[in-house]
Parts: sequence; C-alpha cells; structure tokens
Amino acid sequence: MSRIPDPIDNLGKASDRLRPNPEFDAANHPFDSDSYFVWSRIDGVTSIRDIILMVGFPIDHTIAILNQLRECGALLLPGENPASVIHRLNRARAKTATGPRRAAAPTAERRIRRVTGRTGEPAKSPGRAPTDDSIPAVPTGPSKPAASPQKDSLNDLEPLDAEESTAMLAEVTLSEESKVRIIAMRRKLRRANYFNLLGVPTEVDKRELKRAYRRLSKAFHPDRYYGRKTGPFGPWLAEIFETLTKAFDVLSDGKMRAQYMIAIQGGATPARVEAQTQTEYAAELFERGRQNETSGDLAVALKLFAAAVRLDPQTRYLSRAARCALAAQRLREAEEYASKAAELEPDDPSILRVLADVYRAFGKLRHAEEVLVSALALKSENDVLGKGLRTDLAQVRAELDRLNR
Amino acid sequence: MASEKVIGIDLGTTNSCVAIVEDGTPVVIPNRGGYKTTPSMVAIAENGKRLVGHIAKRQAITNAENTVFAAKRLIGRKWGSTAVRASLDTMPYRIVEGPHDDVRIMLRDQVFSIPELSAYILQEMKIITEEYLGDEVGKAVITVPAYFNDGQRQATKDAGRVAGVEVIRIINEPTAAALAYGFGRDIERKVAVYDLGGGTFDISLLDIGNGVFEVISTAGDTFLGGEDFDRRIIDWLVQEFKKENKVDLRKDKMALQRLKDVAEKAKCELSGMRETEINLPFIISTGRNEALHLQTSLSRTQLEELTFDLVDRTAEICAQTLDEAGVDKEEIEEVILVGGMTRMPLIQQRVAEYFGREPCKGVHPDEVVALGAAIQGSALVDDQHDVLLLDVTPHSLGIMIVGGYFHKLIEQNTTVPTSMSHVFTTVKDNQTSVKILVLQGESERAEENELLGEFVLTGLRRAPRGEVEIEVTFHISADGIVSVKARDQETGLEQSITVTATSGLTEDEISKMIDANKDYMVEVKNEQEFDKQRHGTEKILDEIDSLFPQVADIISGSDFGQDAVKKARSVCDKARQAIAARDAAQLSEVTEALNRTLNMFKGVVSKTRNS
Ligand SMILES: Nc1ncnc2c1ncn2[C@@H]1O[C@H](COP(=O)(O)OP(=O)(O)OP(=O)(O)O)[C@@H](O)[C@H]1O
Ligand SMILES: [Mg+2]
Repeated sequence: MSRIPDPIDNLGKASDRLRPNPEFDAANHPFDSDSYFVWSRIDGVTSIRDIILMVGFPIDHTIAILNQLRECGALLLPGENPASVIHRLNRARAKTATGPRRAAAPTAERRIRRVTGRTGEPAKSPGRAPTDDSIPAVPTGPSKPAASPQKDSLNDLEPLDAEESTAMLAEVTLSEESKVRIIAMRRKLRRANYFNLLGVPTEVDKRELKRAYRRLSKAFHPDRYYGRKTGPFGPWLAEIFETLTKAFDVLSDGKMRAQYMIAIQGGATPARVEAQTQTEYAAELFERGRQNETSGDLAVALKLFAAAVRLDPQTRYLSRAARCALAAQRLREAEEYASKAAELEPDDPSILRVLADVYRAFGKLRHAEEVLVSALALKSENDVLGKGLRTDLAQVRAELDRLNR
Repeated sequence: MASEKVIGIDLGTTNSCVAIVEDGTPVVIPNRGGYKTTPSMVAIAENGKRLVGHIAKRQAITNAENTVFAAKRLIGRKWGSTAVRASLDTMPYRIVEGPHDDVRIMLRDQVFSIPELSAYILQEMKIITEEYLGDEVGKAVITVPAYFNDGQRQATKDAGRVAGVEVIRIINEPTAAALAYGFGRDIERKVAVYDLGGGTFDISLLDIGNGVFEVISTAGDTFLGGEDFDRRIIDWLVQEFKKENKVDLRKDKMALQRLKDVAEKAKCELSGMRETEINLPFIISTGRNEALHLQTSLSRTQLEELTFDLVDRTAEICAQTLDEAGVDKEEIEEVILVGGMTRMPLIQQRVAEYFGREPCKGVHPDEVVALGAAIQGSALVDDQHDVLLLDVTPHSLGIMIVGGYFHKLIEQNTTVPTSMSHVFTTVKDNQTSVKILVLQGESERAEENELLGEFVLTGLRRAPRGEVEIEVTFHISADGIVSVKARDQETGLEQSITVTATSGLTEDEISKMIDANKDYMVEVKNEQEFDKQRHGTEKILDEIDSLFPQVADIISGSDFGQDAVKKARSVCDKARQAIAARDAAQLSEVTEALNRTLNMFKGVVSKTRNS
C-alpha cells in the first residue's frame, strides 16, 4: 500500500482525529512496542493520516495497529465515548465466551478490566454519531491544549501556514512523507508537553522512555538526512531533535521530572520542590554573587561569596571569591580565599595561578615565583593555561631582576 | 540514494588503520605488505624522497633526524603549550616555531606543518584502499581522541583536505570503537570504552540500544599513552648507563632512536614474558675511538614500578568521568579495551579491578576504531542503515564576560546538535558596541580557555549601562560546527558567525599544500603504473632466463644462432637497465623486444622437442 486510503476501513475518514480513551490504562496493557508507539501518537488533535505519516511504519501495518487499538478500547473514534466503547467490548466479550475465539478472551478481559468496572453507566449507541466533546482528550498526561474544532480536510495536513507552505515549495531532496512528518512533528513541539512529545505516559519507566527517545531520534536526527538538501527543514530537524533531547533529559532525571510535572499541572514552576539543601543554597548565593560581580557591585558580590563559601567551601567558589577580592583591592581576603583553595586542591594549576596573582598584588614576588613554578610542574590538559603561567612567570622574574638591580 | 564508498581512517599516534563497509560488513583493508595497520611515520630520505609507513619505520634508526613519528601529539597545538615543550628535547627530529604560534618540523632543511605530515599518512591510507578496491575514494570519516579540542579537530580536517579526501565527519575514537562493538548486535546496555593508544588516553561511556549509540560522557588526556611508557624505560636506561659509564646517551640522536626502538620492544615483550634482555651493541663511541655497549635486562615488575603512576592516572580519569556523569560502576555492563597499550597485563588488571568485571575480549584493539569510522561513514551516506550516533561536545563553550570570566553556555558532554541562549547586558553607559569572544574549555578564567573566535556587534542604542540586552545564542550542529548569533533584544539587530578554530594554518597555506600534494599524487600513480609494468617484464625475463641454456645449446652452432643469442642478451640487459633506472618509457619499448625474444625461444624449444 503506497497511498493512504480514504476512507480507511473501520476507522473512518483519513482526516478524522482519534482520541485516546481516558478510561484506558496503558500501564496495565501488554502492547508491543510498535503498537505502543502508534498509540502514543494519538492525541485528539492529529488526524489519522498524520499519525500514519508521522510514525513512519508501512501504511497497512499502522492501520492494522490502529484497528487493534480500537478493538481493545484504547482509542475513540469521533463521536465515540468511553461508554459506547464499553458497550462494544461487552458485546464482543459475550460473543467470545461462546464463540470460536475463546483463546483471545482472557487477554481481552484483562485489558478491559478498568473499563468494565463501570458498566453501570448507561450505554450509548455505538457508531460514529457526532458530539461528546466533554471527554478530556488526554489519557495520562497531565495537561494538554484543548483539541481545536474539527474541520474536514482532504489534504495530508491541516492547512499549512505561510512558513510551512514556503517550505513545502522549497527545492529540497526530501520525500513528501518526510516533509509532512517533519512539519507535523514541528507543530507538535508548539503544543505538546514533554510526555506527549515523546509519546509516553506520565508514569513511564526509564527503559520505555529511552526507547521512545531513541525511536524518535532515529526519525528526526539531522544525520538521518545527511547529504540531502533539506532547505528550511534542516533547522527544523535540529530544533525537533534538540527539543526531544531536552524532553528526554528532563524526564529521565527524577528531580527535574517532578518539577516539570508540577509545572505543567499547576501552570507555574514552584521555586523549590524539596527543601533546599545547604549546598544548593550555597550555589544560589554564589550565582547571585556572580551576577553582582558582573554588574560591578563588588562589595555585595563579596558578601554573597563569603556566605556561599561558609556553607560550602569548594574551590570554585573560593577562587572566584579570591579574584573578586583582588579586583576590589581587598588583598587580605583575597589571600585567605586563595590559600584555602590551594590547600584544598594543590594540584590544580589554575588555582595556584590565583594564589600567585594574590602574591603579586602583595608584592611577594618570590612567593609568586615559587607558586608559578610548582603550577608549571603539574601536568595539565590546558595548553592555554600553561602558556599563561609561563608568561606570568616571565613577568615575575623580570620584575625580580629589575628590583635586584 | 545510491550510496558511495566512504572510508574510515583511524589516524593513530603510532599506527593508522583504514576500513570500509562492504556489503554491509565492515572490513579492515590490509596494506601492500599484508599488514592491517601502518606505522604513522613519515621520513624524507637522503634523495629527497618522501617515505611513509613501514618503509619510513625501517629506515628510522639510520635517518633519525628526518623521520617523524607521533606527530599526532603535536597536531593543532600552540608553540608555547606544555605538550610541545615536552616534545622539544625528547624527539629526535627538529621541532620549530611556525608563523601562527603553531608548530612545524624541519626535515632536511624543509619545513613541514603537522597537518601536512598527517596528510601524507592519510594519503597512504587512501592509496591502500584504492589499490584494494581498484577504484577511487573521495570521502572519509576520520577519528580523533575524544578529548581533542576544536583546534586539533580542525587541523585533522585540514590534513584530510591536503590528502585529497573530503572529511565528511570527524568522530571520537572511543565512540567509533563502541560502534564497531555494537554494530549488528541486538543489545541494550551501558558500556565503557577504555582506549589507551600510543599517544592518548580516552574514556567514554555510551548507552547502546535499538541501533542508537548515545555517548553519555567522555574524558581523557591527549598526552598520555604508550609513548610515555616508552619514555620511562628510556629514562631508566639512560640513567643506568650514565651511572655506569658517565656518558649521556641523550646527546646522540641515533642512540636516542635506538633506545626508543628497544624500549618499545621491551615493553611489548613484557606483556607476554616476565623478563626481557635489552642489548644495544655499539650504542655510542667515546671519542677515544672506543665503542660502548648497552646490555641489561628488564623485568615486568620493574616496568610496572616505572609506570604504575601512569596507569593510576587513567584510573583516576575513569573515576572522575563516571562521577561527573552520575553513572555507577555497577551500571556498566561491558568494558571495552581499545589501543595497543591495553595488552599490558597491569592495565588489564587495573581496569578489571576498577570496574569489578573482566573487560570484553571480543574486539580487536588495533582495528575497532577504523571499523567504527567506516560504519559511521556508511550510516551517513546509506539510507538503509539502522545506526545512529548521538555524540556529545567534549568541551564547554561560552563567552568572555566582564571581569575576564568565562561564562559557559553549553556544558561539556551535551548531546549535539544543541543550542543555548543567554541574555547579557551592557556594562558601560552609552556603550554602542560589544565584542563577543567565543571560548572553549573548562576554566573559570576566560584567558585560560581556548579562543575559538571573536566578533563585534555594533550599532547598539545609547542607554545607561545594563539597559541594552543582548541575546547570545550558540549552536553546535551534528557535525560539530559551532555558530554564534548575537542579537540586540530591542532593535533586533543581529550578527552571527560560524566559528572555525584555527588549526595553525591559513587558508592560503592549505591550498598551496593541496596543490603541491596533487603533484605527488601523480607521481605515486606513475610509480604504481611502473611497478605493475615492471612486474610483467620481470616475469618475461625470468622465463627467458630459464630457457636460455637450452636455447643456447640448440642454436649457437650456427652464426645466425650466435647472433640471436647475443641479441637476446642485449635485450635482456637493456630491460634490466630500464628497471634499475625506473625509466618507464624505455621499459615499455624494450618489453616488446623481450616478448619477441621469448616467443622466438619458445619456438626453438618446441621445435626441437617435436623433431
Ligand atoms: N603487546 C603490547 N604490550 C604493550 N604495549 C603494546 C603492545 N603492542 C602495542 N603496544 C603499544 O601500543 C601503542 C600503540 O597502540 P595503538 O596502535 O592503539 O595506538 P595509536 O592508535 O597509534 O595511538 P592513539 O590512539 O593514542 O593516537 C604503542 O605505544 C605500542 O608500543
Ligand atoms: Mg588509537
């Protein structure tokens, strides 16, 4: 099958939008990964045709999966509601209890457990009768832009905006399918949250998350289009992949994910999800100190640095504080910070250099020379630093020579 | 899209290797001598001829000053850098300062840049492949140590250009190794690649699954490798010799090269044996017409004592990398050893100890990197390929801000492509322009990082300081190209540059080298042609030689016969002269005559046999 049929057997028009069944609990269902992927693309906004194009499987394979998903109650056709699906499933179950397809019954039963638990509701007539928009379109994801009113369209995509139309006409060496897939995914970037973007439920585990990310990377990473003329699609691919990576990074980090969940549920990121630890507070103080230093408020910056260093005396803070104190001509403080840093990390040439600078400011040239020599003796990956150290040393020695004469 | 051949080249410090994907299988291509790796050596012979690979290695001792090895340790380095300083008095060849704060090497009064010398090796690999395929190759993926910075990568790319190949991608050596390890296998796991070669150490963590190779983290030391182990042995030998004979062997270039040779040999032997003899007769003469010999033995335990701190350092870097990546040792399901040095028992032992598991023995430490490069090459150009590499940027990128600080915008180990923006403000009242310095590195101080490029955004509106906001956006593309865009938030005034690190060569120099090297290609091609022809001629000569006694017997009875024999002799001599003089024109001329002679001989012999 090389063209998407319209209408599609059992599913309706290609431009119809499928909705996920809010009553359906994906976590309890043994989908294979292809089915899971297809199901994850169903969002009540994307048309059947777009879904078929976007997943990139052979067309009939995707259609077969969509049919299976419909069979087990995972999705709703326009006009269907959870109750009507239940009705259908119940009928199917009654049939399989006596019919030849008995073997399938146990799984069907397990899959619809949650749905059948609510059979007390009145069953509406099945079929594609319109309306019932009150059902939330999101299965598990916490927030979701509302589905736009449905318009029938014979195009493969919803009407293109100006930018997209220009792109479609641009001279590129991409297949029509690729172009549509990229445009559809790019639209998704604008309206989907990270879960929807990656097509995973909120309770997704690390492994499934990783799989989803890999699958999408394979579809959208710019290297997959290497050597092709991509025109405006090139930057879009980069943008898509970068957002996918961002989404994956956030969702695979427990803490960031928790914050993100709160953000999308409550609409705003709370300042702190958990009680802030001392080190985190120190980091914040340090960051504020840096900002003050950058804007020239050295005194304030030094206060903040001092506080940060007290909470968390790490060399990065110390050497920064030393530099700032040097700039503010507060040499005693500078020396204190720098020697503490050098004590903590005697093998870091960059820190030794700060100490040498402090000594130079004090006029303790011999000390500076000594420190620079030992810094140069350390092995360092940093070529530029090595060169800087040598220049410093030469200057110090020249100065010493001058004084001796 | 019809897929074209892309070769994968592992341009090593000590050895180079080339591979290609054929019918979906990556294979290493052996060189003319049948070896799968070629020494990364270039020499200029007395007659001015360029020698590369095994030939260069063979003559290294007698031509030490004009034989370059381990040039990779200098590529893309600044003249003032520690690495260059360290090489100055340990290398037998002459290292001189280049015009752009770069490094050059002087061979027989001719100055070569490092990319140029690397190009000769790349070219050799290209030639090896073309001979094997019987077809030209134009594109290559070349590997570099993961911890190479942009300058070193750019220099490697330039080397490719000079060699006449289009470098479609530079990838990291450990990543390539992981590609080769996971290629065609249905695995889902985290792996560590420990790569200790001749010049560099790299450690990379990757997450492999569903054909996607995701680099999680990578670190290393671009100046830690087998060379340093050799050096320890040399130092030890020199010291012992001095104690005994009061003579400093370092003064003699030839002695130094012989020491290097014997040190490496001893090191390799001690991977299999517990003790080895070191013998260097006539190592130096004392000026009183008397020669001294070096004779000693070295045990594995001694070697381990001399070098344990180097091994420790690699373990330290491993620990640091895992720590920074937030990966537990237990999560690593496989440790892959790459590089010749990982044959050393102490190293295998330390790695096994550290990771708490035996390293994987399923990959060839000398070949995996090239195989991986070939796989990535074909993954890029071939649509059918199911392999995707998600690589990271090995160093942080940022700009210089007020106070001389480095403000990181993209952290190291970020997956590429990636972009990041940040808003900066003016620092002076009525400031109308800002200079943006783009830097790469990890140091807090701007000046301690590598400067990648700079540009000025002008035409800012006049306002009190802090009021004008400039948004700076960095982008790193999938092939590692960095671009920076600065934008005045209010006026929308925008400026951007693509940042190319300097490799130490100007565009002008590169194109001159390309031209010069094109001539060399013609020369090599001719030589190959000649060798083919010579081969044919020699076969005819052999045949004639074998028939000669018989024919002479039969026909020299007559005057005519004697004359014919004489003529045949002279034709053969002429052919031999043409071969000796490598005179292609004369050779083809004389070959015709030879063929006639051979036919005549055959005729005589068969006639007698028949009668
Ligand atoms: N059996 C052995 N035991 C110990 N060391 C060995 C052995 N065989 C080779 N080596 C060392 O391995 C090093 C070369 O390794 P390899 O060919 O992997 O390096 P390379 O790829 O050229 O360098 P790099 O990757 O650092 O640029 C040399 O220092 C060599 O002496
Ligand atoms: Mg190597």
